[in-house]
Amino acid sequence: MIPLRVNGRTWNLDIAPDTPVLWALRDHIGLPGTRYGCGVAACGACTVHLDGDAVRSCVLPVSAAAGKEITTIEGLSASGDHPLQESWRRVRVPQCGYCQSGQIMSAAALLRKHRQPTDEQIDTAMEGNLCRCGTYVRIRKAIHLAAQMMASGKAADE
Amino acid sequence: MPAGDSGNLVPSVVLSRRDLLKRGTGVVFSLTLLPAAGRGDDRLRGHPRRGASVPLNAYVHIATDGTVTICCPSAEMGQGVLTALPVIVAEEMDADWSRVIVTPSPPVGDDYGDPLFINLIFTVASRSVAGYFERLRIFGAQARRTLVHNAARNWNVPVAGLETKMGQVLDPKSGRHMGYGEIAGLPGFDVNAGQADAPELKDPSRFQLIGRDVEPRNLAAKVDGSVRFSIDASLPGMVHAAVIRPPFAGSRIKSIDDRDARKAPGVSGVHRRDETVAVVARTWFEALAAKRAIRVEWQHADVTGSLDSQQILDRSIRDARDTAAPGIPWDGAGDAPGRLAGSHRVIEREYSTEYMYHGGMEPMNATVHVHEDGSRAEIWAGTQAPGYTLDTVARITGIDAANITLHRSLMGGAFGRRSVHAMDFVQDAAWLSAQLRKPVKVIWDREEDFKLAYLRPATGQYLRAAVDESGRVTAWHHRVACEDPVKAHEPLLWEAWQQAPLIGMLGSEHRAEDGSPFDAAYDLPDRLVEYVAVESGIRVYAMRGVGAMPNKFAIESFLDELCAETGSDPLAFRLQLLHRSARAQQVLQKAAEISQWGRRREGRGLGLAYSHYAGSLIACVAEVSTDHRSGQIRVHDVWVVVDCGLVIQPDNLVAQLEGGVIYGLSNALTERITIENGMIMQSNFHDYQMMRISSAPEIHVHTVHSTAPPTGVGEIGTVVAPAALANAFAALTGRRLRRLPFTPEQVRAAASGNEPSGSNRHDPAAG
Ligand code: FES
Ligand code: FES
Repeated sequence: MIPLRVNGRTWNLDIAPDTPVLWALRDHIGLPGTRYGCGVAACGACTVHLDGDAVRSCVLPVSAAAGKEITTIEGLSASGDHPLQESWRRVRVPQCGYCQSGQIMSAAALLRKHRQPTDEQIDTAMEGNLCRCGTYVRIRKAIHLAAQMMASGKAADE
Repeated sequence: MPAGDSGNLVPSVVLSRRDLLKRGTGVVFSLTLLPAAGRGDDRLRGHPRRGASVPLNAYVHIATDGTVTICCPSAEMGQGVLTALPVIVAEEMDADWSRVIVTPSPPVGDDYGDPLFINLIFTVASRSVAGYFERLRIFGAQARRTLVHNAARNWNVPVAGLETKMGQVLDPKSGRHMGYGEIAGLPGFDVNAGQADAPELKDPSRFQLIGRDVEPRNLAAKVDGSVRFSIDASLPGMVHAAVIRPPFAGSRIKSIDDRDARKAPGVSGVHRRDETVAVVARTWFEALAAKRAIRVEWQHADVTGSLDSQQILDRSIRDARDTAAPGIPWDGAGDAPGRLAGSHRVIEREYSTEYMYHGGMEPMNATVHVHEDGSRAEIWAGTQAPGYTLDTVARITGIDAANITLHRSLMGGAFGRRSVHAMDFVQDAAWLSAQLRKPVKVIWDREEDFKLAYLRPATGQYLRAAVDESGRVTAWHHRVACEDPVKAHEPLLWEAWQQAPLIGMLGSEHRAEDGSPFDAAYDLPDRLVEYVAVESGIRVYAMRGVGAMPNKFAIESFLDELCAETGSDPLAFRLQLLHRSARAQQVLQKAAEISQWGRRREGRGLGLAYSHYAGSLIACVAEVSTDHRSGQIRVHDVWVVVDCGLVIQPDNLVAQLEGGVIYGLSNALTERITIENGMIMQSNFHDYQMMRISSAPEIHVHTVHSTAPPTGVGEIGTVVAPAALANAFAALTGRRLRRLPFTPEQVRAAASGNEPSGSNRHDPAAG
């Protein structure tokens, strides 16, 4: 049994220790909001937070995550009201939507580190997240907007 | 060759929609297994809502609580069609948009199909809005009429005096009003009331929803992670499978060692059907891990085993150039060969583009559940061609399509990959579930998805033009050597389209796409465009922008090369060639204006390109800089001006152009699939580079105001952007990029003058 802490809840999983967190989330715990795109840390679709840092869950074995706190898109905010989710809706970022959980999780980790990120900081933090629909222009815009909203205290912090 | 537009050079059926509509009934409907109105999932009927649901017509149901359910024939893959099409219906029926539920239409049926695609639903070619606009308006107006007639009867007043607004019928005289739901619940409600005459359509000046942004469907769910794609299907008793399929047609399994896989944890079996091996397990990762423990040795067919993309490309370029071997005429007018032979100045160039991968972020997958007794089946799949999907599963399972339910899923990108006739990504779940009689989910791991790609065809392009003393083009000859996908991979369309190489050649013609007079094409009265068929056996297909991307890249690059040779300005040159079209002039002028075309930028180059595609017109300006040492091109800004007729959802249109431009730039800068010894050499996103955020330019979209019928925008950004980029590079460096993609090696080669170029012939005898 491997204990996995996800969104504040502990799951004891009967699972091979080298199973990536991505598949534990999707197939064992029933949280499919975290997506599979490449399986080799090259696309960012599977991004979650591990103790607050953005990591690629497709290459993170459950054994390495035991004892740490995992946050997924489903746990980012209580009801989809994280400032980034709000700004993502306002800017209408998603097209197909498949990459967007990962985009938002990467952006959320960025905003913890840099409350007012520059374009360069955005590029660095978001470089690992592919979007084949090409929503990059709007992602940049939405991150800046969320940073503004947070600065003006419009929305609660995560 | 006769003078004037000799449309007879091109099989007219290809581009003539009207023709197809006329002949529609004559086309043999080869999907014989499909019932007249196949089954969709039952959401249309069983959606959770209060009150009984009354079907008004094929597109509209009304519940007695006032909820309006509108079905959407096209498949949603990120292009926003689940919003844009229902808006059109809601507009004509004056529905209250906040009470509208959208559901996918049944997967087949005459009311939902596209005449251009043998009356099947085929969400491709940027056709949804243009193709369905009129039909959806009529269905919406019909629904409205039915409601008005029933209200009139109930109130015992003439129909003529009644109005509709926000889901209600109003009688201004008496001040009475009744909600649509209430009307639908009236005893004796007559669905046929008012259907005797064709309904009247709204005057566009009265549009409330069309032209104004409504919230895109599923926006919130895509942001909080609750949106579901077919890959998320989860059913009681479901098992998971990972598969190994043959790399190319003709490859056979020589030997297989699956001993370790069979013993792997969670694995319930290793199954085989023809040349496909499938590992079935409790979870998908267990299936994948076991799959990786399988060793397969392939026996390639001779032709497959020797497939080599570089050789094919070299041969394509050679064949394109070899004017002694006539190609298949695709577009022509006047006497181009004669004029070229008689000209004092002929300029010729070669271009090429390589194989590419669709790259949708959701890997191919499908779930099929053949029920215990084998009499029924359900499919969960994201598909651009639901009729093909049903037919494939019917054929494999032997279950009548009438007893198969397709749950049409949202797609995590598609870009053409999910419309292939073979429906390869659905097949394995079908035969596995038929054997196991439980729900089976098959996901292709990304490596398998690459291995089994249906590639954008590579092209070799040869262009030559005669120019007179004043620098005007007097003859035009364009040869495109490529493997058009239709013949090998779309057998039904190949027949229906009378063997026209439509996917590969689109965009190379200078005439109407629909056969009507279309003056947005360049005026080239003496021209010949030929298809030089390549038949290699590589799996090729339509990818966003189809042949128009490579073909416009070549055409627009060549035009700028002609400008350089003749000392013309690229803008003025194009304006002159487009003198027949005020709309084309307008998009070009506007693009020049918003990009400040005339303003020089230190260290930056500006490039211009123009295209028409799917009925829309676009002009694009790209601003680039380059680092000669690294060979990197940086795109800073892109301006596009589009005229696509009436705009349904303005913000979504901008998003489609942004995404389309990014897709095209990504293709042009980094994307290349290579094939050696019959194997695709790229396997994942580390060795197939797609554009990432740091390379994405600012994109400025301007839409021309128009009341013309709406036309498509899903691909046109992809079509036009690569050429603008190449032209910007040339403007900056004086060097020409003729080999797409413009990898650092290509850029460095061009910068140092080692790039193979074309030639200028001034002496007619030398040709
Ligand atoms: S699925 Fe993890 S980075 Fe692509
Ligand atoms: S929105 Fe489709 S991949 Fe990003």
